[in-house]
Amino acid sequence: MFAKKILVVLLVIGLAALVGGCGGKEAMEEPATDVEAPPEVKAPPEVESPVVKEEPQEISMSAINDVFFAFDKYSLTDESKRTLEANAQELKRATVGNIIIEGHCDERGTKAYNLALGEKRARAAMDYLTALGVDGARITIVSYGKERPFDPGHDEAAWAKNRRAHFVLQK
Amino acid sequence: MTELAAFVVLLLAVLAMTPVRAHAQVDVWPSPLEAVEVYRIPLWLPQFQIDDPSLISRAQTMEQVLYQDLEFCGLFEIIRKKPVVVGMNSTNLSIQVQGKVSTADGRAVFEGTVTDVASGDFIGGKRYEIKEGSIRRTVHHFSDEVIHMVTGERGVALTSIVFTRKNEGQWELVVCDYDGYGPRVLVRQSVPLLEPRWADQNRAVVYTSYRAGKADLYIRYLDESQSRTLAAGEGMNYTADWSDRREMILAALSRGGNSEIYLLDKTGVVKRQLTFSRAIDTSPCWSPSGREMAFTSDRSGTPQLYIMEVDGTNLRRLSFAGGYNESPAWSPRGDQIAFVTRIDGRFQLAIITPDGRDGRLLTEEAGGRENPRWAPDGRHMVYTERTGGQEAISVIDIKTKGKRILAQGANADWSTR
Repeated sequence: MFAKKILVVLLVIGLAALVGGCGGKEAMEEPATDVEAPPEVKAPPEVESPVVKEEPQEISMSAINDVFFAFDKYSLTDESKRTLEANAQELKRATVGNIIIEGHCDERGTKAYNLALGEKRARAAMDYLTALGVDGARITIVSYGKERPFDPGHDEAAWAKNRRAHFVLQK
Repeated sequence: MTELAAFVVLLLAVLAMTPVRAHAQVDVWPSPLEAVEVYRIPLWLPQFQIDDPSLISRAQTMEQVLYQDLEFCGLFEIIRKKPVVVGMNSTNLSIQVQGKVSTADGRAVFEGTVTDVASGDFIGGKRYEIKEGSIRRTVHHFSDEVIHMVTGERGVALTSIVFTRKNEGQWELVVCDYDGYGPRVLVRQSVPLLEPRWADQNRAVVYTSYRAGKADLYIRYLDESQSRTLAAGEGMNYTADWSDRREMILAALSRGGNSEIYLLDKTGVVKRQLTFSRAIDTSPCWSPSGREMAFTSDRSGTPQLYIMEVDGTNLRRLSFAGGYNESPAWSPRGDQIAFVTRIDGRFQLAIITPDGRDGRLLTEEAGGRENPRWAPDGRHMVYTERTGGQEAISVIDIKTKGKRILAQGANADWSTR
């Protein structure tokens, strides 16, 4: 019994030393990767569909507007959501024609990362539209990253215009 | 015995609960890399000897190229005038490189010799026939020989650089010598073309192009007149990086609107998906061993660098400081990873070791920089320098921090030897 107690004490000391030792050796520890899921596209509110059934209409691009993003972000702002809700209405009213959503970025950051970011922006716009009931088969997305800016300027005013999901009628 | 077991269980539980802290990282981007006082070997490069007056203009070109090559490598302090040698113990001058151009048997010949100034000992020499059209290559070959004779290192004067440029509204894929000389347009098109990387033992270039209306991967062999499609599946196919050691390609593909990193064989067939996150995963680059890769992901909320084995295991985060770390490039010696970091709204070049230590800034000036890619000497790096709307291909010597502009353009990649 005594021997057992000594063993226990030794074990405690040994393990305590191990804990202390580990604390000191920071290199041995795993880097904490804070894995944070990107913001989910929330199901948007129901939008009333027009009751009157008419002849299939063609999309009027004047009723479709681009949406804009913050730097290095692809989440939709409330204003972007309102724009997309109006776009969705037009796309549901006019069932003839398909659209391309182009994702664009401002000139800051690298080309490769902006390609991916532009795609996320186009994708976020598309996902919101389909959640509103627009047929996903009518939408294609493409990212141009920072390769095709709308405003060639190099200030925040130009950058804000260039961070967009741009809607184009598919020919 | 139950007491013992209980103790052990308790202690193990305590151990398990000990919070795992991120390792001793720096929260703010690290000190800039000091430009170290680099010792340069004094090298006396006298005027060439010209035995045949009809060869004067060629000899002058060769002398100029040799001077530029030896200057570029950063190893020498070049002295042009005949130095005053004080006795046999002169330590301020060690090497003499002498060029000689002459005609022998009706052929133009270049001879270069390397001698020890103090002892007069012959270190080595080379003799070349001068052929019209390859004068610069002949000198590049000799300058690499000089570097090898004197230091045992291998020079990069015979390497090439590929880059893209905008020219009158067209996108061009261009290949040139390591010093920017002799640009040759491989592809010209009206839609974007980006991220070229050397492939297949420098015989080809893989690149991203919008030829088919979206980003797809193509490969262009230098001796062919057409590019071949490499990967053009659903979504975007972009940022390829070829490993000669593995004869495989890493690339970002977005099937279903989210970019993930994939391993492809050299014909573009997907072999394995390497990342699985709903975040952006892009910019893969091979380690020189071909066993690991570095890449960028915003899975933590901002773009950061990660490393993993190409068999899909051992994923770990590399960068912690700053909110934008992108475009990793693993050095050919394997000991450094260069990347782009955003500080005070500016994009700068930095390096860090693959175990996440000793992060250092290479640049601090205004303007912006991107796409660092190593030269095979592990000392020089090519990158895009952005000032206003202008883009230029620049080269930095990471030892001296000396920079030079090579050409107008962007997206450069340095060939292997």
